[in-house]
Amino acid sequence: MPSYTQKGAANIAAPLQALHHDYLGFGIGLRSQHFPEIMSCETLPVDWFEIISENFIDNYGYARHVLKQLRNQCPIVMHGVSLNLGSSDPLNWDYLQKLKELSDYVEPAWISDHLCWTGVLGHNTHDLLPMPLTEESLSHVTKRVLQVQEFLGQPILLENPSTYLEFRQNEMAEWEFLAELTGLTDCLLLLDVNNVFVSSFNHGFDPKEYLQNIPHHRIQQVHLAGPTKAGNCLVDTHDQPVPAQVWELYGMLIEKTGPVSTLLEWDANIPSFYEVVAELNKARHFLENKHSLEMNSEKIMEASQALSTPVVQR
Amino acid sequence: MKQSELKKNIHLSQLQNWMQEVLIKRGDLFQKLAEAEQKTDLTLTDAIKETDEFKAVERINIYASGYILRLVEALKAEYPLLCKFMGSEVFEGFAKAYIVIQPSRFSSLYGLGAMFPEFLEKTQPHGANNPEQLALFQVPSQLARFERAQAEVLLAQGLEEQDRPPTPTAADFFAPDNTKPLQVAPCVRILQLDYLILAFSQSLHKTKSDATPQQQENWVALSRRDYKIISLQITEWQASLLRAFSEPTPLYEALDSIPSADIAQTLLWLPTALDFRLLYYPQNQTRIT
Repeated sequence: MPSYTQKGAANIAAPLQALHHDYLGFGIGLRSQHFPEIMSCETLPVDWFEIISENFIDNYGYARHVLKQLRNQCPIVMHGVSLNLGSSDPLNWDYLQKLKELSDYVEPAWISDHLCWTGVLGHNTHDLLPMPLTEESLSHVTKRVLQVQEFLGQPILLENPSTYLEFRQNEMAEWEFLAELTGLTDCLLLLDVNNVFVSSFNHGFDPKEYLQNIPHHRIQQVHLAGPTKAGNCLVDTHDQPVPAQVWELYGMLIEKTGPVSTLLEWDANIPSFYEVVAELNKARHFLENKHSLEMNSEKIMEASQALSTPVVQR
Repeated sequence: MKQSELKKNIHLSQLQNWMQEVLIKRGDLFQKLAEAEQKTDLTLTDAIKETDEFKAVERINIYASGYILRLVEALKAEYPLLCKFMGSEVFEGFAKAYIVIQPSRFSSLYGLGAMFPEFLEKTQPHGANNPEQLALFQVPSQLARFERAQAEVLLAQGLEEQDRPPTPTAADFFAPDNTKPLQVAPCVRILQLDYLILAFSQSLHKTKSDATPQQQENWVALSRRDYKIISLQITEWQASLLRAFSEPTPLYEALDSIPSADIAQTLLWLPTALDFRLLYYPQNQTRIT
């Protein structure tokens, strides 16, 4: 891990005792729209940043320069969208090699991707597609997680995606699949609370049951975001404040996990850096039991059409 | 809701091939479903759960329509001037066709647009009746090449991390012992174009232009200094000279390979080329012979 200067990472100390020794505090996704504001900060108002790995692989422009500055100031975590772990294609070793090279450069606190597939037969749909939740998939993903962890030399974190369909062949719930997978591979979880909410709404399961049963000791990081209601479903748009229902689930989760590294995602209609930080700070206040009525009444916005933003372009 | 009997022995690869077919094939959703069924022997009801409130067809459509919309948006972000020139509707038509014909095989969305200029060139209409119409057909691919080159320059290895020695004067190049090799910067792109795209892009950037650029063979060099793009209209001999420095090469050798180069002009232009980070003195590099 790089040593951090006093310019950043000043707020890592949490008000409560963290269960996880890798607790980082509160972070946001590093987006190019915020570079001017971030680079002019005297003291960073966030504890850490998450980067989209694909946006920095083969990128030697200004974004790499910003990353170079920030990695000396605060922890960075790498979050990928193209590992394609669930695909029936062979693992993409060229991609993994580049991921490892970026990891060697960044020295991230950890590396994450998704429980999903992005394409088969060499294609990339640039979407996080749902897995058939079967014993066959579990065995397939288990082998690949072990291979990836061996190659990267560290456990990876896997995120539960938002989903809009379920396969009829499913043999278990997503939380069961993840519980099995973490047990078999020692991988960790990046639990996206908003995605649990979105998927529960779309498939009619109880999000609280999901959060009760997911293995809490494996959760290393949490994502928060705001979805959009489009017709009869919720879409994971990352384009608005976190709604009351997600805060409620987050509150329920941290009662189980204790303080857990929390990241706010905002990837479309991106407001200023400080507005995103203000939204993130609601999570800080939540942890300190300062959540207000105003925060709990944030409504989900509706749109006739909504586009999920699982993959962010640089 | 009661669904048909569950098909047995459906494997991961079959389900994934089916779903990807539905996403990436041409046609409306029902054509895609029919084609996917033909290829994988799976139907929508074989694969997807549904409820009375949220039908399987609506569920798969979120992924199928999202796939196209997301990638069109990515192309719009990479080719904003082209989109402005063609108009959103026409641009989207070409973008959708490109995505269907050339589905992405790249890990990053950055790779998606790499072949878009060639696609526009290959699919440009024929049979123009006048120069104005010809320009309307030919300019999109040229403008796309220019915008793609800009995107490449922004991401490529630049010279920002290197020490910047004082720019030599023309006289310094006369020194008899001046054998220090020069090289074109890794982020430099040189374009040979049939229209005056650089000036056109600058006016298009400022305002919506209904005019088309003037047809004239020309060369543009794109480089980067302090992470900002530098675009220069250059001459044919300057383009040849830059190409002669694709590897570390002493000036006298580069000049030998370009018979048309005027030595005086070259010596006067080299300080500019160094200042604009088109060329640099590579450090600790041995020349590959």
